[in-house]
Amino acid sequence: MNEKKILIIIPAYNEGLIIGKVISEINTIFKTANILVIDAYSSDETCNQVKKNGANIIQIDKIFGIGLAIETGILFAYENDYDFLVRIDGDGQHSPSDVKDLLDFAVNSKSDLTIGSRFLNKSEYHPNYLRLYSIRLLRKLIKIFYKTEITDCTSGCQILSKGLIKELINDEVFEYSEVGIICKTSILEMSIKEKFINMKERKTGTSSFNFKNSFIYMFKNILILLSSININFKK
Amino acid sequence: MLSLHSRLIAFIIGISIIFVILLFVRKKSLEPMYSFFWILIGIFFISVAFFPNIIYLVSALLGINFSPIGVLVISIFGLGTIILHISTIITKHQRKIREFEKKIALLENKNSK
Repeated sequence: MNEKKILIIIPAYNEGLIIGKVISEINTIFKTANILVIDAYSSDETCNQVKKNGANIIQIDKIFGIGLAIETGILFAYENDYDFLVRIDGDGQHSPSDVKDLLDFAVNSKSDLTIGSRFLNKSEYHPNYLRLYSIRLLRKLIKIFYKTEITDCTSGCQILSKGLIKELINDEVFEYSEVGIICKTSILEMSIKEKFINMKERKTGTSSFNFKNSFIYMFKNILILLSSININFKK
Repeated sequence: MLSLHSRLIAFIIGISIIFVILLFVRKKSLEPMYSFFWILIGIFFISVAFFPNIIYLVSALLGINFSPIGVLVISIFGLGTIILHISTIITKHQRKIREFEKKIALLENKNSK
């Protein structure tokens, strides 16, 4: 059995209280994986905590949003020739052992995009109503326009395979978003699989989602979804 | 008909727009590519000065009886086009900046090791 090269990327902004714990937990469960924290120039202890725990850190300005943070991770994975890229949240809401299960599932099922879904089973995650309904709307739209059934299209836990990473790098105008990548993968006719993952309530730090952000997020996602529909003129 | 006075003013405005734009291009504070629309506007003013009937003709084509409104409609359309053009340029630059940010971040990471 040849060992797969795995990169775990954790976008973080002001998560100094928990990031150290998250990294050490991941280190004990994933023995061989490399961790890359993408930090948005946090004003607290995040950077020191990450360095203390021996993880790699890249800093990206906050104004570019989380999309560019993940894109940087994708580019890093491409340049260093990783087989799988695991993207999880930096606030400790995904438990590393669940992520390990998800990764095993991704490796065994050979899917290109594996999503940790919060809605396939009963999880501790309770979004506010605006967010819940926008997720449902996005799910319906994806089903109509892309013929792909996804229960959780905005999950922060996604695993990308090497093939998908290569396609994303080749596409110059691709901008990462949770929904955008699902659309892109469907258009490329690569396989998307889902597995349940539990999501704990946030303990420290603040979520970037307030009412205004939820609204912008939904608007942006719907626009991305509708504008990236593949229209094929030649039959 | 436009009075001689207003035709003269239109001519002066047209000439000064073109002059200022060419000056900007010469001083390299404006890309020649982006000066295109502005020079078109200058040419429009000058042609109105020489052939004032353009205004009435265009208004009639748009189905507007009161010709000053025709002038307004055309200018709003022209300005809208310029703004849209600028928005596409901004998007292009933003994409480029994102790419640079990505590459710089990776290089910094490589150097710090």
